[in-house]
Amino acid sequence: MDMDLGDLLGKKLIIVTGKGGVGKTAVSLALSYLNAKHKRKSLYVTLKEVRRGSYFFGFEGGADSVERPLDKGINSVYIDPNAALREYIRENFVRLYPVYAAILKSKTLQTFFESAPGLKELITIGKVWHLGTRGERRRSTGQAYDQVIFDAPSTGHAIPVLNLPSKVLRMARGGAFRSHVEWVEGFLKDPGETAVVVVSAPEEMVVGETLDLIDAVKSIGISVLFTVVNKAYENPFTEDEEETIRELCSSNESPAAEKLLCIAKSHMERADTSDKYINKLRGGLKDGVLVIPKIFKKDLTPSDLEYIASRCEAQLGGGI
Amino acid sequence: MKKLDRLVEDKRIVVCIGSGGVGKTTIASVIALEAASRGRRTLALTVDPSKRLAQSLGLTAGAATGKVSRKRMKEAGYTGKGELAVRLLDVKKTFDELIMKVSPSDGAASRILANNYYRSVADSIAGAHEFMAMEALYSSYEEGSYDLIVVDTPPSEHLSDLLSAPLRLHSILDSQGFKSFFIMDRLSFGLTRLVTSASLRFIQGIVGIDVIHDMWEFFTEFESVSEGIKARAVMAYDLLKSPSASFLIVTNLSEASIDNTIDWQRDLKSENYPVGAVVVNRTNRHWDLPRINGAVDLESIPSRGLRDKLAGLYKGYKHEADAEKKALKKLGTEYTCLPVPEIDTEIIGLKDLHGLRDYLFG
Repeated sequence: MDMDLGDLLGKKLIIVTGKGGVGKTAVSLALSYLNAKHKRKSLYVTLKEVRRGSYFFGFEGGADSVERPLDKGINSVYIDPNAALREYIRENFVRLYPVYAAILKSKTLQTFFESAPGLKELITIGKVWHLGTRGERRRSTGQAYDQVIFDAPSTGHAIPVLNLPSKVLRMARGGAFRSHVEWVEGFLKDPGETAVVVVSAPEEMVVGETLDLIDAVKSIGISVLFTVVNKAYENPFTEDEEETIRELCSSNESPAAEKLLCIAKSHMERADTSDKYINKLRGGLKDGVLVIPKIFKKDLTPSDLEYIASRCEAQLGGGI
Repeated sequence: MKKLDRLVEDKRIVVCIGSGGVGKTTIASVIALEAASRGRRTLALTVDPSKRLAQSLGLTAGAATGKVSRKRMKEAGYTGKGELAVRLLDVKKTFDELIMKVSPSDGAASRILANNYYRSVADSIAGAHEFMAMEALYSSYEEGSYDLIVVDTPPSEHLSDLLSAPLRLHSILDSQGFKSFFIMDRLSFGLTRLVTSASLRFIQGIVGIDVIHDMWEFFTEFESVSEGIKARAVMAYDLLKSPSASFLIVTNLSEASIDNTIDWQRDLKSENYPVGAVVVNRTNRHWDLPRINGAVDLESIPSRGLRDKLAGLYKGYKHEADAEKKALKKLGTEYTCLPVPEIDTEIIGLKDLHGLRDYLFG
């Protein structure tokens, strides 16, 4: 399948997932920058609160429950599933404030929500969608967005959550929640509206899990747009240079240079390993694979995110 | 440097904890193999190994148990005589077995196991995974067939997700709140009845009458096993706090993982769990990078273009090494801290695991 920038930007909701530690947040934010570059407003949504002052790519504001600009054209918000649940109840069932307060305070009800797995998660996904589409509704007051980018939990947690709608539908044969779940299923499974972007890394463990994840997402019936292989080692050397490195590696008079040449050699080997896993992914996937080079920095900055965005764009065909 | 030799020789239980993606399963496997090769009857209890690692550990596709035979250990370079038993955590099966173990009668157990709510969602309730990891550990310990059990835990952000899960889940299932709900609805009258009925109707409005019925049936039945489950959870906690257990924190040097490790050290200490060591996995191998002066040190390299590329590479690796040293300093652990450098090949076979043993053992 040819990858197309227009395809990516045309979705309302992009769900970014992948194994823990591969760089989901960086890729999610890079996709936000890609939107911004094309003059489109996007909302970055996370389920992890980022307190003001803690490291977040050098953005000062962090991410909390108030939607606020992260950079030009990019807003960010943190969704607390408990708060989303309260809001859902208030809006859908209890319009009278005192009743709402009394019901939410009851331990019984709290227990009920704890023991009904998926309820909170599904309401959270519903809320993410809601934020993204509110510009299309009349009498809506909030900011309208062209795209919502959902920095979803890692694979281990994501599959059970994405699997939930069908589980819940099997169990709940009636009730308002069933119609909520049907609605969630509706937009999740609409390939024109929603797509999953999987983040991976060129490592054995990660590649295996990536292939499993993509199978699982597809079997649920949700469209996978492409896979981003992050942190790939790139070989910067020409063939002649490689030969020179091998020759000089053990015959150099300067110990410092020798050490550096050995690093260069191991870097080349790693680049080969990266290529091997990238090819494995390409072989196993019909959908596109984008490659992002490893950035030798511990803390990425907004300009690194823009760089990742430009690398993604360069590998996507088409335009908007 | 103090290594983990004593740990694999003396302890009965080693629990590996850490954030997702740091290599817990790998480290747990290295430890279990070492203990087995030293002749201890060892069980590796693992959560979700990669396919290739699972194969290396003798878990064929779909199998819940496996072993690494003496012959295969020898081929990988282990000199001892032992072999390693491996078990994969199956949340649902462990839950079923737990229910059967503590039920007062076969009838009660089969009613719970057949319940629709239990069957479709009980293993997805928050904490079920962690709870069953602990139960699987405890029941393996109870069996008494092993000298040492090495546990690889589900990835968690917070220690409480892992260690408080059993009691939290128990309190959800054993909720007086939920049971009294139905009882009150039946027994009460007047205003109280009006309110509870309204609330019940409210829940019914959300999930429908079938779910309410299934849950009611489950929670009623759960009462018969509740005490037994709680007692086992408490015994498991006691075991984990005893001197025969040891926690190993596995981390890498990323910001998030270091922050988690700092929190965990504090929490484990304040709750009196014994900590064995911190394993810092996959560190940059070039910590001892010499300072390079491009103009002088690289003058023997013929082409200018290559010199520039090498200088660029140097800058990247140096930056990473410096950042890691800084992160390690931030961690400043009071426990034994064992760095395991990243190696060029992937850790997939027994030989690769054997290759890591020198970093952990003397």
